[in-house]
Amino acid sequence: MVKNTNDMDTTTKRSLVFAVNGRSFELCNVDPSTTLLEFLRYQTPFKSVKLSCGEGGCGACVVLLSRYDSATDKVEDSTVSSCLTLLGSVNGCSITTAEGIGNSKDGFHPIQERFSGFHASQCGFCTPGMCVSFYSALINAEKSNDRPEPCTGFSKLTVSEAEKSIAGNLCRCTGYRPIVDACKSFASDVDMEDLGFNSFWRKGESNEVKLSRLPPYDRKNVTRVFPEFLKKDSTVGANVDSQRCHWRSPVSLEELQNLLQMEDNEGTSMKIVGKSLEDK
Amino acid sequence: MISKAIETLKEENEGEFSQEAKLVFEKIGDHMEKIASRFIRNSGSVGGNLMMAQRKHFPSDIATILLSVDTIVEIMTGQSRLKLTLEEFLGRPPLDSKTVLLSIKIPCWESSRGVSSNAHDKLLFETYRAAPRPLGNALPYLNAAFLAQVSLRESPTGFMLKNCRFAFGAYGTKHAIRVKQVEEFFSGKLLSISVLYEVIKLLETLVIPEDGTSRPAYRSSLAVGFLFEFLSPLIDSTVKVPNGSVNGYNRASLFEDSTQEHDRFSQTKFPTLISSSKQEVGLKNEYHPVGEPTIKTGAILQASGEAIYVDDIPSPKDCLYGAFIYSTEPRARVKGIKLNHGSSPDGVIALITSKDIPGFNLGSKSFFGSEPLYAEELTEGVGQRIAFVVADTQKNADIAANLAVVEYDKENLEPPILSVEEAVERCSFYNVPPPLYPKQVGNLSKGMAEADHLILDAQANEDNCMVVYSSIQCPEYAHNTIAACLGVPGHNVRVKTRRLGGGFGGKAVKSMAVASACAVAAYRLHCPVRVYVNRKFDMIMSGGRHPMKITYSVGFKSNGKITALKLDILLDSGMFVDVSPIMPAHMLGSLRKYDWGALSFDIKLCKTNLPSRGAVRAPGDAQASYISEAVIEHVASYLSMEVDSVRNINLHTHNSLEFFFPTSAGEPSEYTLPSIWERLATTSSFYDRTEMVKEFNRCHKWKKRGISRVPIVYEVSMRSTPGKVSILRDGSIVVEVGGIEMGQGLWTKVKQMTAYGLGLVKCGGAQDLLEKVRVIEADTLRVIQGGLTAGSTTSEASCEAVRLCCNVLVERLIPLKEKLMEKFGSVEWETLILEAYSNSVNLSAIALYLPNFSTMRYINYGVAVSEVEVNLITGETTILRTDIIYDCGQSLNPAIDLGQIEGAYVQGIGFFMLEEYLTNSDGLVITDNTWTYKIPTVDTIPKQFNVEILNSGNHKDPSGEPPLTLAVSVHCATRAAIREARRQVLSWGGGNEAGSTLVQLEVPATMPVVKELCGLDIVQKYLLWTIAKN
Repeated sequence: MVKNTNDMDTTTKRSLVFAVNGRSFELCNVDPSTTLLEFLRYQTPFKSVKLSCGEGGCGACVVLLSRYDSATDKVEDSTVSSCLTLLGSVNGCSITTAEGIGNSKDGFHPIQERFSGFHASQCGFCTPGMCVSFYSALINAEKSNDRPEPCTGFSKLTVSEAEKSIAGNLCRCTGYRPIVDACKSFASDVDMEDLGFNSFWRKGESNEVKLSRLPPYDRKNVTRVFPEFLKKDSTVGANVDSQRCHWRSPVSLEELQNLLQMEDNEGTSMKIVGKSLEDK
Repeated sequence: MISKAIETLKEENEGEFSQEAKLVFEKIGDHMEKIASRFIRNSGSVGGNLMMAQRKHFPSDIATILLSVDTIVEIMTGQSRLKLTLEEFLGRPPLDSKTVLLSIKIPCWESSRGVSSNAHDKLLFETYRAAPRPLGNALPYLNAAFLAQVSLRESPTGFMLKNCRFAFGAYGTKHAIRVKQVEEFFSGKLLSISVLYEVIKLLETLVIPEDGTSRPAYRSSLAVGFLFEFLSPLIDSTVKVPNGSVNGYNRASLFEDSTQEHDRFSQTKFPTLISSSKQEVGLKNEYHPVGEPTIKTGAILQASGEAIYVDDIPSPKDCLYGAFIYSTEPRARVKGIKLNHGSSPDGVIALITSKDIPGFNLGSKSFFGSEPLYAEELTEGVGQRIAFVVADTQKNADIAANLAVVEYDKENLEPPILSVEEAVERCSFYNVPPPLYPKQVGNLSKGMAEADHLILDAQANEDNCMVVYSSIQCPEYAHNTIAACLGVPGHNVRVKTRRLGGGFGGKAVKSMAVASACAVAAYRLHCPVRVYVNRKFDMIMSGGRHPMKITYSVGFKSNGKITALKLDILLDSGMFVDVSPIMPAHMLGSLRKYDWGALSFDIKLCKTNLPSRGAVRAPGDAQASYISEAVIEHVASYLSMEVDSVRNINLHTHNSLEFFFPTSAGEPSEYTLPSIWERLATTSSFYDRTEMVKEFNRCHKWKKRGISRVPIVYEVSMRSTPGKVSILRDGSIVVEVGGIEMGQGLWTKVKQMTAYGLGLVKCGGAQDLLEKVRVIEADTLRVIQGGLTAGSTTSEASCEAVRLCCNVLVERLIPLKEKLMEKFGSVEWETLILEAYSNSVNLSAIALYLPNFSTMRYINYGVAVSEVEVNLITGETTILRTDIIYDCGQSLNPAIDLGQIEGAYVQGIGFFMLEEYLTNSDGLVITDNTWTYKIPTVDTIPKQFNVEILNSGNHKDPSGEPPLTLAVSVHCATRAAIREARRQVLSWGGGNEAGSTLVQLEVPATMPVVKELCGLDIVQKYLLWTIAKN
């Protein structure tokens, strides 16, 4: 990020392009010090991302960030704290919030239905973040090729992965047990007997009946579409300018060196936002 | 990204690397999985972490583990590039902001590397960290990584180490270090106990935290512990080494013939996360749908994030934002406030102080007194609000408040009162209105005279903890405060509250000031003002639980029966009274859980210049549970009795219960504690497991277990609460209640009660009214006298109010229904309502529930058995299993009550075990963020968690607070484990203070606290004892 420089010459484009829950956003003139959380909460209707600690310590603002790699034609999905993610860094990304996983208009996702039915939400402030963390674990497990095909209704995720998926998310109300149960209900190796009190079945019903009572999870329906318009130019980092700050995304060491020199010559102050080059 | 690095390190690269190199990579990867949390590892980079370690002395794990494996880094400054060892890199002065870290190279390790090839050499590599949370998301107290080559050729006297690399970090050092003197010490020496002892003595002089680091001795002891853990398997005399090379350094296979395998550190492996749970819930449907486990209202919308909280409401046009400036001086004159210190703050519109308040300077006005919104001339404590910056955005307001400099003047002022002792000296107390001060029980001097033993003047200090978020549990009081503040009539003000993202007491009195501040600013500036109180100030403002100093004398007989207890309790209430006067009654509610014979107490509320304390979930009860058990444990320890039998003999009979609780004891059949106490012993296999714990402790030196069964008694009282039920033309129903939904399921229970209450009209469809009911947000002008949502009984009271409304409506509807029935034979709900509309029947009813004096107070019972395992090297406590039986009386919704019980219990674990509320010398909280304030996470809850809800049917269902105090069982079990550790030290001849088996365990019992009681020098003692023995 470069502060207070005048007209920096650059040939790369000057707007940020990304998608939130499938909706496209193209921003010029955005202050690159804006966090993704601020953008989502104040400039979109997606308020499921909650500001709680503002320092990546609680998981209430977690979103799924998807990047397309044109070389491999693969999409990489990972969770990030939106309170620590600068808007300048999401160029070309597709962002999914809890509303994007499922909502009252387009239908809920079984994750949300099971969170509800396992009584895994009390005050609900941490719940969207929990759902996103778990959703990420679920889709990443489904992408793996080296796992056996799970039984119908289950995923490729293991119980242990399901539990660990929410390890960094804080909840003050539930004591976590019901949340863990909701997540475990998707695991290929789950023992239905281990799943706790819920609104789906009564004690003593057979595993088949129990499964049939769960909001159905169908692996075939989880294929996610990466927005086509982002596939075209997602490889180039954005350069963005606002009145106070500029964002530069150098793609080579030379470019970086030039930028760093500019700091010496023009008296600008600069902050390097850690992003390793081989990620590009 | 760290997560990418982990993936790469753990990749299966067949043939590419040696087995040993792979193992090193894998272990580095495993360790890195404990850094922060997944969503941080997905965006944080390894390089960034190392740069923070280099520049800012960040207590990095990555730096330490990579240091132990000879990592090379490449940096770029200007046009030049430089390759450095990680050690050189870390040791340089902080690099400037233009230096870029280009690459990090971890060499491939194999045992023959750099030395003559020897098939019997084995590479050992282990990494360690001690942190409050096992799965990470917590900075370590210390981390370490050890790499060494061991010659496996059996020699008559032991092994030899070569090429050691021992790295330590994060313990209060500028950067991770290698202890070269220790590494070199091994050269040419055969490993033995005495060599190990010498090494550890040497290590003690090398790993020393810098001044100002918390718990320095604990951190040094971890270094010793980890090195001992790494090396001791190589010294065990019974160990036989298998022939030939072994696959990897794996203690189990390296020492597979070991006969003492049970005493390995890694032996007792249990899952890091919850492995099993059971919930026993009695279901009843005689009052359909009341008593049924209905899903919480709006749960699915919470899961999709569509549920709306206060901060989700869009800002109106031209909205301004505020942030508080608070005092950092406990007692000083405020001479001025400078906003533009250094850089000029953007977007600041106004600075609001006490002079801008049109009415009274009131931050909150409640039962016992008021507190000012802003300090006037003098500050009364740190964290006190001084002013409110208003700016165009929340960010600018926060920045401006942060940069603001307050000028103070302390000349000729009396020094502040910063402790309860000083408060006593200066007679600075708050009054407790006499009706709120509980009565003494029995004749103390008689009880003391009956005693065979007396313990006098034992002391215990209580710390406090707190929880945060926003909005308010008592809109009615906020309403009154705002009106007084603005100097306008009450009807000019309206406070609306929809739902809270958790309350726990933190959004009671303390939240009023936030509302008042906005109101005053909006009034002055003629535009809407909004504030999102950031985490830090919320932590400062909330004040946490009341710290206490307790002095007790207890008299008891040789059989453990206690005959008298005298308590002197000094309670720090801080600078403002808040609801402190309720504390004595709350404390006594839980203190009277045992039959003390006679109970005398003196509880003083000290007025200090420290932050004002709040009523945090189970206020006073949490502390009192701790006090009661500390007394019981003290008696047991004095008499060398099993603690459980001392508890048993001092449980109340119904007679003594009536003596201690004259107005709330209830009928003998309602006293379910003795039966729960017995039942849980059976269902949790308490006695068998007690024996198993003993056996475990006999066999294990470095892990000790403890098990504890603890009863709780919790008195609650009902308060008057309003409700309003209206039926709309289409038959749908709207309900308003005084109680606030804050996650506890109040709305759901109210919905169920409404459906039941109106269902009594018994027309067609009256059984299925649940889906027709909607509870709407609280509005202080629509329903007045809303009161305070607190004390665990608001759901029950709100339900009662709604039931009264329903009764009125049903009474109005019945004549009409009967008329229609006569005419048509049957009538549907919708028809009935339509008909009522055309007949102008009043279909709206409002009622104020008033508790009956004789039944307004009652007692809740529960018992918990908890088993823990304490790691004597790190002081870490793992909760292996918890079993709970809680008498819910008559659960209105067992699913919700189960959630309340489990949730309160885990919050209790936080209070008793984890949440350190540390302050500076002026009392300003310094554990004010998620880096430092550690609440329970999924990896710190019991590994087995079984809860049974008993539906004894005696009363309704307060489940919000009482189960929190059940977590004292974890604390007691930890104490039992520590006692075993101390016995062991005693048996090693360590007969000093750590050898005493009276364990005064603080709250919270964090890792350093536990380790200190087990003995920081436990490893040294063991080694000395072993050397002496041989």
